[in-house]
Amino acid sequence: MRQSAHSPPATEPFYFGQPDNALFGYYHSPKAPASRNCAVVLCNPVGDEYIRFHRAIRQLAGRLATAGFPVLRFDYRGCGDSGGDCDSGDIDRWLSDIALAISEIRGRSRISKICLVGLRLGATLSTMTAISRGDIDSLVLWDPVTSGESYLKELAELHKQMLQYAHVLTDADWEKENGSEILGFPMTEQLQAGIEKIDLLDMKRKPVDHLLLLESNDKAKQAALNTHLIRLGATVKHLHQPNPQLWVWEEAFGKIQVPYQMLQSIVSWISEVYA
Amino acid sequence: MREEVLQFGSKAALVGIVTTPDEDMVAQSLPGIILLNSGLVHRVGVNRLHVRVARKLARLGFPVLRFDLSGLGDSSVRRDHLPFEKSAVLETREAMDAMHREMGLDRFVLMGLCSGAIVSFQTALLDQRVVGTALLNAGGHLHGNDEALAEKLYRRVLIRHYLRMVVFSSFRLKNISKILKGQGDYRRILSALANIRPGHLLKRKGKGSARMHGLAELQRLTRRGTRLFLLHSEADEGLDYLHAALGNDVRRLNEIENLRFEVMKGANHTFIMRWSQEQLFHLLQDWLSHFMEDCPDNSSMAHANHDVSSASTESLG
Repeated sequence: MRQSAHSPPATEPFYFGQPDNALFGYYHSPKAPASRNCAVVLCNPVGDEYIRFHRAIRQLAGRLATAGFPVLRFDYRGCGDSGGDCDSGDIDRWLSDIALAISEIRGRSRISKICLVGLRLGATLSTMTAISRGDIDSLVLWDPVTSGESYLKELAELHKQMLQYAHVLTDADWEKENGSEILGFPMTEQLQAGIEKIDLLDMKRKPVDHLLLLESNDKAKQAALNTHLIRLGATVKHLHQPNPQLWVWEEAFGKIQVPYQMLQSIVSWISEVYA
Repeated sequence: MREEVLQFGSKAALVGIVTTPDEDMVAQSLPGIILLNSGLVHRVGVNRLHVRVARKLARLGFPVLRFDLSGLGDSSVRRDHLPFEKSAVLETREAMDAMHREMGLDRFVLMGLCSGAIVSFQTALLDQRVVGTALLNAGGHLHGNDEALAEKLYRRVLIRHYLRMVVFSSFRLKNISKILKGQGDYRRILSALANIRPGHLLKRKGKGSARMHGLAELQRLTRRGTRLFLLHSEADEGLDYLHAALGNDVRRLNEIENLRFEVMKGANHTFIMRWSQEQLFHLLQDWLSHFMEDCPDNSSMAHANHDVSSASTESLG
């Protein structure tokens, strides 16, 4: 089966959006006999985290579909299979991409209630989307980036560790001419500026009524976000499932991890909310 | 340039993306290019390398397919319990069938990094449609199925690798500093040292069946006209494997017709530094220019050659 970026999406893997800037998506039809009254959009992390968590995100989509939810996972502009070079993505563009994905799954599933499930920067973008739109029903935030500045420091530290550990030579002149990079991906000034502005502890109203806050990375420290969300009136389930190995940079790509316990926690929570 | 989903294989279980050149760049005589998974990474490749390679090569006129082998990325798991070594080759041949069916192509260049390189090589040995293969950081592919030989080679590879990294490579100062700070990978180093036998160091490496077998396999392809590109990062253990398997014949690899052997200084196994990614693209484009020279469609060749030269100064996304 071959589908053009110009033709309307019909089957599972497809392109959507503007043909010259198409986004790659994968729609998982609900498999359970009684479908739920909620459609799920999965919002990826970016950069190296996107590559390492693709397998987990795919597994999560399959499990949610088996539990009866229509699911759309997709790649932002400049990421994965979507259009655009690696340096073409930024926060505003990715927020627009999420909006496009929401329209796409509503059209396909004919369900208006939306749950956004985001991982890392994807969780932050999900929260920003929910706050600005007001029509998102629930959120699952898996190790969200609470502070953009801390996230950038964390990435810089990981990159520094990689430079110490991996057998690589740096080329300062090349980097000066072509911009900075983090673990194999460009970090443009525009993207950096967008990330720097992120501060979820500064949000003034609750993004949704119900959300799951999943914490596996001890560096991210989600307790303050949990407290803030509760103060804003949200009902939060905060699960702490430490998995430090997930967040260690690995050169070998034969060791991608899938944290099944976390995936199951997400499926169980969404299934309970939309029982 | 256009990107489309292509599903093929039994029950359309395999998922890939075809990148096709713009109409004015299409040259029927250029081979199709297929990019194969590296380890468990899905079809976008480490550092999104496959997407960028596909787009760059499509701009030169090559149709490119990057797809997921069964059980990887978006492709379904096989239910027939076929071992990976066999299913990967079978599915790569199915990818060629699909490109033939969809685009009329009957000649192919296979490319892969690490395990993707090995699948490329094994498929090329079996399928005459493969007219070129770029093996990026391949290892473990030149000694056949002899397990005792594999074990012997592996010990030699480890010893050679650690010795090279600490004494001879561009990274030696960094590694010596790491050792002094107690940050070395001592378990692997000790394991390698524990297995040193005098023969490993004194005997000229590559003597015996591995060398004969490896060279024969490489020449089987080159003699039938298949172009081979063996590219290794300086830090890649596969480079030590190549030396362990082929011995002194490594020095003469570039004398073999249709074979090109290069080492990229300062690069790691996954080409994580962006300068190394750019250098990789340039090397691939340069190697592929052979196929463009063979192309009888002069107008396409002119377009393509223009793009090769302009690409050398192009900033990468």
